[in-house]
Amino acid sequence: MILHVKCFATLEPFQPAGPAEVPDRATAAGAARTLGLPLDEVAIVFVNGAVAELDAVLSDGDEVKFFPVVGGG
Amino acid sequence: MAAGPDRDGLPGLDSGVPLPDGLPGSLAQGLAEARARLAALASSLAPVPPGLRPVPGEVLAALARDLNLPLRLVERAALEAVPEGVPEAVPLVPARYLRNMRTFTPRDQARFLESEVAMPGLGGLGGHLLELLARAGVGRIRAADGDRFEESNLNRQLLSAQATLGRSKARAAVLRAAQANPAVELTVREECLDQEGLAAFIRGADLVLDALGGLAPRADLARAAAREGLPLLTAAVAGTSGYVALVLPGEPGPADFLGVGARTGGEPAEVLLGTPGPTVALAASLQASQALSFLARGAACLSGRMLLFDLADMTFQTVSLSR
Repeated sequence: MILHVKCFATLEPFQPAGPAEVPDRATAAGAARTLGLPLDEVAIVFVNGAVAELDAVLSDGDEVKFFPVVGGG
Repeated sequence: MAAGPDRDGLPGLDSGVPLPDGLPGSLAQGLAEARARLAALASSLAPVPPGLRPVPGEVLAALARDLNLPLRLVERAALEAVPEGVPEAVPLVPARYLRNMRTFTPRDQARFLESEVAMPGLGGLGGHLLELLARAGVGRIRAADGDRFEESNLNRQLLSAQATLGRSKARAAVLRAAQANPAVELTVREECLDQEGLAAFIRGADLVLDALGGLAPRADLARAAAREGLPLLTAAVAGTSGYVALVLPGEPGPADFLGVGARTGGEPAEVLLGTPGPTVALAASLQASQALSFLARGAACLSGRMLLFDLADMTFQTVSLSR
């Protein structure tokens, strides 16, 4: 299935160039692994505009955002 | 001299946050007297678009001296005065707030002047926030920072300058706020506060603004705001990315997810990616904009939500922090 992924800040190097292909019924954590994202650097996952657990099961076309720990000011 | 006007008779009112009454007797009397004098002055003030009579700052300053009132209260009196001797009810507004109008009403502006915000941090976010809130006319601002300026602050911190290197951020804030808007009553604490200190510092404020740097102090502030039952407008950045969120008491906020450090124990994102000026100024501007909405109306569109942005690809998305 296809996901629309956005990786913020330190996770930017793992940003796919276009829609990301992941196995059907992948979880947020599974999608992160497919993209090579270091799970221990992911602080918050958002799926379709709402905060989600890493074990949330994703659907084709989902918008997934990975946000790391950020604290600058 | 006419008696103080009934505020509810003013044009352009909305049904937002009520203005506080119960000023000490002498101040309440002074406020009524200032309203009456300004109302009587209205016919000498020409209306300008968008339908307001701007009152020059020197008139307000002279009245403050004459009545021995804080300038903040004289500005409020102008906004509450009902013009006399003029056929149409065109409200007065201190000239310095003319370009706030229509986005905000005279009543909103009076509310800003009566508002009190608590703002720990006078660095990147804090310098820009102070500038925007003081110019907007947020009347009472508490700020705290124990740091002194160093060269690595110069890329983004509005209060920093070549001449203030090595000097106290809190003192620079006092000088800057007085120059930007003498009506603003800024009180500063020249120290970095722990969780206990933060709780005492924010107590009784209308809104808490997180202008701190680093995760641990932000987590302390989030806990202090939750404990005091106060709304917290938080923001943080790293590189071209950042977030802004308005956390209402009892609701989840970014600090609940971000914790106090990188899970790997590595360097935090802002150390790896830096804190460029445009990212910091944008985050502070978003905070200031939400702060004004909240102070005027008691609500803002980021209530319980979080705006994520990345200036590298101009991503802006508002997400919910509730599961």
